[in-house]
Amino acid sequence: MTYWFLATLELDETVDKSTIRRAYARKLKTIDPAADPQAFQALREAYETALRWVEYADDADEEEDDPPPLATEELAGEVIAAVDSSLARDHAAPLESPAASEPDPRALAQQRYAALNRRALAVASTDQFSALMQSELDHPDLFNLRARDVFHALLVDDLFSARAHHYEWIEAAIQVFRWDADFLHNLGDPWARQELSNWLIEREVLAGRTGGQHVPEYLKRANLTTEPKKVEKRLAKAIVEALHLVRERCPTMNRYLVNPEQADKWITHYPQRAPAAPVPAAKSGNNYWWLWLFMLLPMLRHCDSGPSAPPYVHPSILSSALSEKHAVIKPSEGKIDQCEHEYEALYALLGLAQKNDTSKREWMGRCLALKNYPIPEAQHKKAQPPPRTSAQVDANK
Amino acid sequence: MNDAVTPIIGIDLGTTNSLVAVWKNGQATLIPNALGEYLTPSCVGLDEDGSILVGKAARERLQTHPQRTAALFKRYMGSNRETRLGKKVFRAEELASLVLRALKEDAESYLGQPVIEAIITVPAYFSDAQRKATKAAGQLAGLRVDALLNEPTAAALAYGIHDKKEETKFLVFDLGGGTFDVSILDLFEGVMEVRASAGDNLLGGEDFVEVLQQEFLQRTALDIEKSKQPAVVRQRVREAVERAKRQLTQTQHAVIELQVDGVTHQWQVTEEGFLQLSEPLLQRLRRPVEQALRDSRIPVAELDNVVLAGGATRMPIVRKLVGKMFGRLPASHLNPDEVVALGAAVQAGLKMRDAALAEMVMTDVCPYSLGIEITRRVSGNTSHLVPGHYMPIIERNSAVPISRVESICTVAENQRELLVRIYQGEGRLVKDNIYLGELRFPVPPRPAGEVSVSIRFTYDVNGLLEVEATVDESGQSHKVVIEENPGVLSQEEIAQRFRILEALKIHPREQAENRVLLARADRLYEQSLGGARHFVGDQTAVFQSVLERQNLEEIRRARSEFARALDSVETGSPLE
Repeated sequence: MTYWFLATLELDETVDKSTIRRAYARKLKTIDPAADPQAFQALREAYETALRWVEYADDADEEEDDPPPLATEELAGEVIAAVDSSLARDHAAPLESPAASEPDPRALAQQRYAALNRRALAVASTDQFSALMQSELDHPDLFNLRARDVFHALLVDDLFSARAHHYEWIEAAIQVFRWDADFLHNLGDPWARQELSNWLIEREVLAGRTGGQHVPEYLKRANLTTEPKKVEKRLAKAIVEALHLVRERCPTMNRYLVNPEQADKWITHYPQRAPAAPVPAAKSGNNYWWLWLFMLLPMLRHCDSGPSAPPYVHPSILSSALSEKHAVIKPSEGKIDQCEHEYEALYALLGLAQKNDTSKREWMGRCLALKNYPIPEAQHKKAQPPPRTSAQVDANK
Repeated sequence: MNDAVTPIIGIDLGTTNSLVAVWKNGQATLIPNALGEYLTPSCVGLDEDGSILVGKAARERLQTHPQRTAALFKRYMGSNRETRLGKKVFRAEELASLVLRALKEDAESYLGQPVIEAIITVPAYFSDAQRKATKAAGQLAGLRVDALLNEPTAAALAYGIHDKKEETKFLVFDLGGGTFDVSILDLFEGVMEVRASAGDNLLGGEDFVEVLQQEFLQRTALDIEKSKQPAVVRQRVREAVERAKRQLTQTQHAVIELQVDGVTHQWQVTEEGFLQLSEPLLQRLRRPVEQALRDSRIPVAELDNVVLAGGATRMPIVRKLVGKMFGRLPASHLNPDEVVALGAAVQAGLKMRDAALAEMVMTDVCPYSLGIEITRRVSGNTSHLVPGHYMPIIERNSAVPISRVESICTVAENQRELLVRIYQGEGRLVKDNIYLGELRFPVPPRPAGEVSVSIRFTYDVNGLLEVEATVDESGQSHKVVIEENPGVLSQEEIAQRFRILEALKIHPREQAENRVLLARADRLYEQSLGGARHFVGDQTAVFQSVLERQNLEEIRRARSEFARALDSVETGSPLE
C-alpha cells in the first residue's frame, strides 16, 4: 500500500525532503493554479503532508544526536562584528570600532535571560514584570534575531515547564509578547502553545465568575501558608473555594499555580460540602475523554489485529500533532487515560504502536493514510461533537 | 516576445512614487515618463485652468498650491475619506487612477501600442478593502487588472530572476514610503514559493520624516498655525525636513533651515539624534520580521540572504537595524526604488507565458487569517455562552489558491436562523479583527447543537474570498462573495465615476516638461527673497512668452535655459 500523498506526488516510500520538493516542483509546472485551484490544492496538500511525514520520521530517527552546531554559532558573532565594521566603512566616518570578540547570539541571550531572572526577584506585580521583560527585550544585545529567538525560547520553556510559577509572570509574558493577540500562539514549542491556549480560556472562566479575579491571589496564599488552621475563617473558606474551582475548571492554572501538597493540606483541613456548581461526574476531569476513548479502542484493535485495521483518528488531531514535530518532548508513556492533550494522547498511542514493533515512520504514514479511510457514518457522528465543530466550543467541560 | 501579444504592464503604485515596467526581450525593463524619469511622484494637482496635473509638476505645486494638490493618498485606499482639490472632491482610488492613467500613457508612448492590462503591486499586508480599491483604481484608469501582486513578492521575483540560483531562501525587507512588508521566499527547482508575509500598513519612510518634523517644530518653536499662510508653510517645512532626511543618508548631520514671515528657523540634526527619535519606529519594524520568520518555519540561520526594497531602506539607520537583526549585510544590488516595479514586470512576463520564463512558477500566500465569529461555551458560575470569539478557517500564510471547510453547529434550542459573520485578522476575539461581511440563512429548528453547518472558505490567487455555508441535514447551501464592504466602490459606482474622470481635462503629456518647470519656478519664487525672487519672476515671464509663440524649436532652447536658471537659484542661496 502506498500513502495517498506519495501517490499524488508519484513517489515511493524511499524518499527524502529534496526528492519530495523536486516532485512537487515538477507537478506544479503542469498546473495553472489560477485556472485549476482544485488540482493545486490537492497537490499542495500532498506536498505539505509528505514534508511533515518525512520531517517527523527524520526527527524521530535522530532524536538523540541533535546538539546545535557550535561552529556556526561562533561564526555568527564574527559576522555581527563584520557587519558593524562594514556598515561603518559604508559611512563617511566609522561609528564605533567593532569589538574584537563579539559573543555568540546564544550566549548573549542566556546572559540577558539570567539578568531578567535576577532582576525579577525584586518585583511583584504584573506591570512590573512586563516592564522588566520589555526592558530586557530592548537591550541592544537582543537586537540579533537569533539571540532574541533563544531568549524567547528560554522564557517559553521556563514558563511552561512544570515548575511552579507566578500568575503575574505568565500574564506579563502574555502582555509583552502579545500572545493573546494572535490565535496561532506561535511560540515555537507546541506544548507551550497548547498550554497557552488553555491558560487563555481558563482566564475567561475566572473572569466569568464572581470574584474570579482574586483567585490567583488566594492560590498564592495557599502555597505560602504553612499552617492552614491558623488562618482566619473567611479567608480560609475563600482559599479552599479557589483551590476547588481551579482544580475542577482550570487544570492548566492548577498545574502551574498550585503546589499540590499544599492544596491537599488545605482541602483535607477544610473539607467542603458539595461543590458549588455540581458537575456531572462523567464529564468532569479530562477535556477530551471521549476522544481518547475513541482513539484508544481502534488503536488497541489495531495492535491486536496488525496493520490491516488502521485506527480512526480525527484528522485535526493528526494535523496538529504532525505540524508540531517537537511534540515528542512530553509524552505520557502510554498512559492514555492520563493525557491532558490531544497530541499527548497521540504520542501515547505512538508508544503503544512502537511496542508493537511498528516503526514510527510507517505508523505515521498509516495515520496519514487515514484521510481516505472510510469511516462508518455512526462513528463519524460521534467523533464530531463539541470541540471545534460548533458555533459553540466547549471550554473546560 | 511575441509581437501579436498585447503587452501587460507592471505597475508599482507607491505612497510616494510610482513606476511602470514591462517584460521585454526576455527581461524586465523600466519605462520612463514624459520627463525621461522612472520615478513618477504619486501626486495629483488641479491646475488653475481646471486641468489635472500628475507627477512631478503636481509635487512642485504641493508647496505653492497645497489646497489644489494631493499626495500620500495610498494611505486612504479602501476608506471613504475624500480629498478636496479646488472645488472638486476625489476618493483615494480616483486620485490613484489618475496616476495610473499617466503611467499607462507613458507605457503606450514607449511601446508604441495600446495597453489594456496591468499587474499592480500592493503591500502584502493590504486588507481586502484596500485591494479592492486598488483594483477599482485600475478600472477607473481604463486598465484591466486581473491580478494584484504583493510588493515583497515582486521584489523577490526581481531578485530571484536576477540571481538565477538553483536553490535559495531569502527574506525581503520592504520599507516603502507608507507601508512595511516582510516576505520570506524559498526558491527551488524553478518554483518561487512565498513561505510567509507579514507587515504594517501604517509604517513607512513618511513616518520617519514626521518624527523629524515634530522635533524640528519643537526645537525652533515654530508654530505653523500662527504663520501667515499655514498650508504653504506646512508644505515648506515638510520639504525642508525631507531634504534633511535624504541628506542624512550621505552625511552624519544635516541642517534644516527655513524662513517664515521674516524669521529664520534653524536646527541641526545628527544621525545619532535621528536614531534616537526613530527608536519607536525601528521597534515597530521588528515584530513583522519575527512573525514572518516563525510562520515560515525557516530558522534565521538558514536564510541565504536578506534583500532590501523600498526607498526608505536607503536610510542608514534602517540598514544598520537590519544588519544587527540578522547578523549579516543585507543585499541591495538592485535599486530599492525600482525593484518592485521590475518584479511586477516579471510577473507580467509570467502571465504572458513568455518563453524566457517557462521554467518558473510562483506561489504566494494569503498573509492574514480569514474566519468567522463563534460563540464559546465557558463554564463559570453557570455555564454561559460567550459570543465574539474568532474561529479562523484559513490560517495566515497558507499557499493560495486555497479552500478550507470547518463545521459549526447551533447554540440555542430551536434556533431558526444562523448568522455567520466573516472576519480577517489574527485576534482571538473578533473585535480585534476586520469585519468583511456576513451570511444569514434559516436552519431547521432542533435542539441546541444538533444542526451542523459546513462553512467553506475559498480564497483565490487574486485575493477574492468566497464563503459557502451548507446545512448538513438538508444539503441546502448559501453563498456570498465578499465584494462590497464599506470603503469599496460597487461596480455601478465605478462605471459612473469612470465617466466623470474621463471627462476631466488632463494636462497634455507633451507639455509635461514645461509644466514642471513652471511649477518649480512658482515654488522657487515663493521660497526666495530679494534679487533671486525677481530673477525667478523675470525668467518665468520670458519662458511664458516663448511658450505663447508655439515655436517648438524655440521652446526647446528656452526650456533648457530656463532650467539652468532655476538650477542656479536652487543650488545658490535662494534664501539670502
